[in-house]
Amino acid sequence: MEVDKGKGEAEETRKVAEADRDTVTLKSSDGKLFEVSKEAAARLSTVLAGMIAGGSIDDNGTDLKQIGSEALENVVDYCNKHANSIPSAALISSSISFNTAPFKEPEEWERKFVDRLSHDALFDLVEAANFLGMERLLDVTCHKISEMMKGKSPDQIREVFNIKNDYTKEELEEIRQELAWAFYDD
Amino acid sequence: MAPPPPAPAARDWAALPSDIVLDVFLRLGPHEVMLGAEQACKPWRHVALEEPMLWRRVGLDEDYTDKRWIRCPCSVKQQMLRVAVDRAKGQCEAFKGNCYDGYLPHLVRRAPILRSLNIQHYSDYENGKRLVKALKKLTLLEDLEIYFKYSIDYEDWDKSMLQSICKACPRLKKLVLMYASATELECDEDEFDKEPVDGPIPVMRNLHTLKLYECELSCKGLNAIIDGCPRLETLLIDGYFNKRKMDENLKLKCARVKNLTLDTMKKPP
Repeated sequence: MEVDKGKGEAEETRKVAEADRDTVTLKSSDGKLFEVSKEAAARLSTVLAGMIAGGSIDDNGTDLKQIGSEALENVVDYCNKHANSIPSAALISSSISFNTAPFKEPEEWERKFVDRLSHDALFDLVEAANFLGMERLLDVTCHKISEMMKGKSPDQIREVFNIKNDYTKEELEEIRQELAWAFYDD
Repeated sequence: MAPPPPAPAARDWAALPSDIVLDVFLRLGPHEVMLGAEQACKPWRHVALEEPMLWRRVGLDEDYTDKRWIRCPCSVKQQMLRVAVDRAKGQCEAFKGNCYDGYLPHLVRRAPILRSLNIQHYSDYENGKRLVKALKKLTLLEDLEIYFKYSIDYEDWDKSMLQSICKACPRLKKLVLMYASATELECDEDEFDKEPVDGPIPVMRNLHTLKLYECELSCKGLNAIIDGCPRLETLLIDGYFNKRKMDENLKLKCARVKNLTLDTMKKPP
């Protein structure tokens, strides 16, 4: 939902935004402008809610220097989709087990929303959600990341997330001793 | 339009903010974290070691069917629970697992604020003294389940187990005791003495659920339970009990227990 970065068109957007106060304009670190439903932004992000309430929203585009355009586009897309979706009853995690606290399960469209993201885009989105205090989006993205780890060995996890094994031999030995059971092989 | 900027280098997942890593780990649960994620890189392991919150609930979980876990023998699984309890740095609130000889005092020291304790396999060649002494230290305990591996030895301990546990844990809301059974001990059913439940118990103001398996209940014992537990909603007795000996008064008292199950038979002569 990128508005545009061209000056003339941005001016146009500003006029539209002023006329229709249902939206706010956000500006990414690389200067792109995005328009988002004010109601959804305030409902889904504690940081944006604070800015709206505190009057620190800039009609020319509120600067979010920490968030790149791709991540901000996803944030805005998520908020606007959320504004249009019919909220279903909160679904509590189906996998209630002794060891994990119950979490709200993502809805079908939220699942699809994060499934289509590249690993990099997911990383940027979870950081943006964290920065903007978006609890629900954090739920959805963290759920996705946990799904990507489930059932995998340390090596497989490193491969999925492109992580370098930064342990020394001694440190690995220490882990082996502490978690001897995890290395059990019959 | 300017060409899009070149794609930046792949993100460094090891540098994910630690509060996000914690959020993800909380969803994975202790087993998954230890088996995989925390071993992936140092920053992630740091979260596992330094966030006691991750280890508040620790236990053998029938629903966790990962084959890496399933193939471990019980004694090996037990090591995992110990490490997890220690990592909770005193904040463990729920434990479900086995307590072989001598582990219970250690558990109680490491997890003094337990609210829920489920001992799936209690074996202690000492008599019940050590158990009761340990339970006394868990002053916040609300939910207790114990499966006894051996018959309780009353040779030099003349108190009833039920009475002693009630005394040690007056705040309990739920208590489940499964006493040793003839089948498990592989002895003759007719010669096996089930755990007697016959005496008085202290007043248990908060107890709403009591389940006793493999016991021999008397009418006196049942009277004492009903009188001692004013909030009792669920009572399940499995073992020997002669329903025909109940008088009208006792039947009337029992009627106020919402879910009453006397899954019992008469003791064979």
